[in-house]
Formats: sequence, structure tokens, C-alpha cells
Amino acid sequence: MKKDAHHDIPHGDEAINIGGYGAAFKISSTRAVDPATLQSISRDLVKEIAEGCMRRGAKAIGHVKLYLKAQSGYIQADTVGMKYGIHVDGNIAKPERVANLVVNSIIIGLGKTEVASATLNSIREVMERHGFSMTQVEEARGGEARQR
Amino acid sequence: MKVVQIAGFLGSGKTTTLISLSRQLSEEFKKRVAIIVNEIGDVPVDAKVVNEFGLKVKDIGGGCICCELLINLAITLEELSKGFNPDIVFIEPSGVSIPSSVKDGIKTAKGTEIKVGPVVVIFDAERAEEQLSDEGIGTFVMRQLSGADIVAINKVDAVDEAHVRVYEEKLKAVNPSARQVRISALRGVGLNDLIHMIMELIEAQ
Repeated sequence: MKKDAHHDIPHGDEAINIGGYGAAFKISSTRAVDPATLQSISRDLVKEIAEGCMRRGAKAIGHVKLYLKAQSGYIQADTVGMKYGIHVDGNIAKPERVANLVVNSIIIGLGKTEVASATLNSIREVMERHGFSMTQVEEARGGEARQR
Repeated sequence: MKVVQIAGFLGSGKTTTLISLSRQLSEEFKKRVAIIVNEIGDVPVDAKVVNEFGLKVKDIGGGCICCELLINLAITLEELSKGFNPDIVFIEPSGVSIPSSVKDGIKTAKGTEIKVGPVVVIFDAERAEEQLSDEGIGTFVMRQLSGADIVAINKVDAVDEAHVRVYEEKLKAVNPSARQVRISALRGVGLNDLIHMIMELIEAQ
């Protein structure tokens, strides 16, 4: 179920080590959570992942991106490093109990295992803190390796 | 069908630029636009966000389209050409792609109607110092910039005029033939100029 990726930039430049991790989750709460709180949770999660990666020795944040999709709308949040702030966009119109969460972390100077661990730990902590349960889900996507 | 790359390092603002350009080209220029997004992480976020704006988007994932997924790029272009017949296809390669390699991949797509368009490389003015002062990242970013037809210096709203001028000079030295434009994709600054540059280069081809 776990999805991860690693890219050492094999383009003639061995000096950059980039680890990536992406995962999708279904999150649910016993009570409906208002849109402002969902936005705040999104912001917290991006912040915690970025800070968690830096604590583990990352050189820089490539990006941490989040997409939260609920029945009444979506929220996107991202950062390229905490000193540059967190950008939050989109709109969820009404309180929601269930949503789909997709997170993608690309980190400079950390291996994929560390990126995956930092990302997953942050997601678990933030979701638990806000009373959400979560289940990781498989994401279908176009672009499997194909041969002519 | 002209294939335009919107390339640039991680976090430079490719997706935000791409969404604005695509919407404007669709709504104001009445162009049929499709988008190909390539993200390193196996679960995409960018494609989902682009999709929220009602834009035609194809996601190529699980690797980098400038190397291991080059063949997928060619096939996706062929499918788009046959199935959707867009005027312009924007490709957003991953932040660690080399634009010149992606360009080679576009050329392998079969179909006389598929034409290589200009390469736009987005440069992050706000993180310029951080990136260029790092030997590995700096070298890599320069390599991306050297393949540009247009260098779009992004996030100019977050830095001062003197800072932008310094980097305009530096980038000119890296790629003297590339056109330069200042933009803030988030604020919509300079995007008209960028669109006109892209259209001029397309028409000149």
C-alpha cells in the first residue's frame, strides 16, 4: 500500500540527493468539522511535515503539498520551506466528516525512508490531535510504464 | 498541436503559472489547451489541483519524464493529439527534469501535427540565493535554465527591485539567447507578457 519515490537526479549531478513520498488517505471524524478548522488542519500538517523533515537533517524543502478533497470543495496547501510561508488555497463550503487527503513531500538531502517516515508520523499526529481516523488508500494514476 | 514546457526547479511555481496561463489561453485566446503533469512522488497532487480548475489534464507519474518515463510522454502526446486535438499542450515536468531531455522526448512522439514549442523555465527569485549558493542545486538549476527559450523570473513580488536586477544579469550570462520576463504567478503579475512571448515564439516556428 505504501507509495514512495526516490530520485537521485541521475542527470550527471550526483551532489543532490532528493527523497520523495506521496500517499493518499481517507480521513473521517465522528463529528462534522467546520471549513475554517479544516483549513487550519491543512496548514498545521504542511508545517509539521516540513519541520519534521528539517529536524531529521534535510538540506531544504523541495516542496510539501497537500490536497484535501471533501464533498463540498477542496483545500490545497503547500510550502517550499517554513521561512517562505505556507500557501493555502481552495474552499470547502460546509462542515465535513469525511475527506480524501493526498500529501506529496519532496525533500532535498533526505532519503526516501526518512521522508516517508517524517511525512507519515506528521500525518498521524495531526490527524489524531484533531480527532480524525485515517486509512491509507491506493491511488490509481495514469502513466504506468508502458512499452510501445 | 504545439507542445510548450513549463519547467523549473522544485517549488519554483510551475503549477500556479501553468493554471493561470491555461485559463487565460482558454478563456481569452479561445485556444484548446491540455496539460501533462509529471510529479516525482507516486501519488499526485498537482494533477488534482489542475483538475479542480476544469482543465484537461493527464498525469504521468512514478518517475521522471526526462529519463525513465520518456516513452510515456511520447505516447501521452500521441493520445492527446488523437483524442482531444488541443492547440497547445503544456507539459509540467518534475522539478528535477532537464528541459532539453524532455524536448528530445517530445520529438519522438509520432504524428505530423505534434510540434515542439518553446521551453519556459521558471526561476524562483525568492529562493535564488539559497539555491544558487548550493553547489549541487545551483549547477542543476543553471543546467535547467540553459535549456530555456524564455526564463520567467517568478515571485518578484516577494523581493526588491535590486535583487531582481542582479539575477536578471546572472541568468542572462547563463543563457544569453533566452528572453526574460518578470512574473508573480500567485498575484497574476507579468502573465500577459509571458503569454505573448509564448505565442510569438509559437507563431515564429
